[in-house]
Amino acid sequence: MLSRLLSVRIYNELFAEGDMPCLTEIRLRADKPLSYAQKGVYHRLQDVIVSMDDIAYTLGIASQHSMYAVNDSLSKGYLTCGEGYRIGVCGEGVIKNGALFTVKNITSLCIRVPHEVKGCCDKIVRLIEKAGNTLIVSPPGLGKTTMLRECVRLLSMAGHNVLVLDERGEIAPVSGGSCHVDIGDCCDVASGIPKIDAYRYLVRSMRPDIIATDEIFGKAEVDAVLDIVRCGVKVVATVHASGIEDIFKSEEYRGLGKLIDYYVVLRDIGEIGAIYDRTELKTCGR
Amino acid sequence: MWTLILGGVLFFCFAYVGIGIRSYYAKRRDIYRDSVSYIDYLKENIGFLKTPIGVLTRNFSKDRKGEFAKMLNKYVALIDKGCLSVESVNKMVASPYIDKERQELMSQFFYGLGKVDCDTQIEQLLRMRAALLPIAEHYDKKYRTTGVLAYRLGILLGIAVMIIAV
Repeated sequence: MLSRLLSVRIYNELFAEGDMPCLTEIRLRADKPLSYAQKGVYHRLQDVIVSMDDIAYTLGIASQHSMYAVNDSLSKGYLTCGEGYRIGVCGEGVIKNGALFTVKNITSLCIRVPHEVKGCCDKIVRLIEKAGNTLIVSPPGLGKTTMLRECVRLLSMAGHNVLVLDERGEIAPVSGGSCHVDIGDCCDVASGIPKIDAYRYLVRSMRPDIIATDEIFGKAEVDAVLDIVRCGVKVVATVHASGIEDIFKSEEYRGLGKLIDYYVVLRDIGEIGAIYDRTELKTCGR
Repeated sequence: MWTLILGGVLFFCFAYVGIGIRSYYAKRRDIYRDSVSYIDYLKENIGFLKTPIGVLTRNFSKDRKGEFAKMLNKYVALIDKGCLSVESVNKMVASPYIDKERQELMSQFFYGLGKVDCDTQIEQLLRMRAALLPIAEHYDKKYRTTGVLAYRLGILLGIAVMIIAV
């Protein structure tokens, strides 16, 4: 995918020394050196200056030269392309009727490279099967989505009906009707549907045992998750935070504390730092 | 014997010229007619499903033949390669069956595809359809008059020359 997504010059420079294992991120900034992250560590190629043409090329490929098809996600600051690649987009906003309509003169792209790491979360899956609602917590870039994807695969393989609410097409990237990653046999994917709509309609229509969703953000989504839990459906989700303290400090997220059974906090890339259960948190006075 | 062969060759030459002229007008007509159909197809599919332009173009040209289908295949190849520059699009629309100024119109059309939001894209398609429809009708008329006339004339002249020669 990267060979298609990056211009020939950028691709050749980036892979000049052969394969790059554990490449997690590539950043293209106009008139600035190319930078990338490998195992969470950033590197800059000082001699390789990214041009606007390089950025336009990547945007063209990612959008399949069809801005009308991607404008909704572009106005939310990202693009998704096949195989689960997500591209963060930064440029000048265009406002229409008081809302962000699109982004023009794009000068920065952040390409997130997805990974499949099998067997990285057997422990979490056992927790979900045992008790239920689980929240994976970490700052960006530590592999929450990778871990969630593996949870989905294992739960689906175990015969649970898993509904993946994949608003940004990262957990189970689907294009042309087929999924690009292994998600097991009992998985349904709602891709590109805003989370709130998906919560509202699909819980009833698809009757899942477990719902998996990425990056809960804001009160509306927290309330939707709480509603699902009240319906008796188990939830496994991720949230951006540096630790569970951050979640409980926030007024918006505090509600999760009532219904989430386990909190899995990541310490390093793909590495579980701690697992807290609800009773443990209660004894700590949260 | 030789006069018969000569007559046959002369008939074939005149008929060939007539068929050639008719085919030229048919191809000119087909390019504009197909381009109007292409716009209608895009309009229907962009508005509802927002399918990317490459997928739509590939689907449209899949079972089609002719100059416009060839042009669309080149367009899809450019999309796949990610090199939709003005020069490459100009080169793509260059055809002996399209006048210079209309090549410019076609080039602008293809270059502008997929660059805007859904509503604006549909407006652009409607404008382009309005511009291409009269041209398609004009060349259809040309085909039915000049093209068919040239064909008939070619055949008749061929027969006449063959009779004279024999």
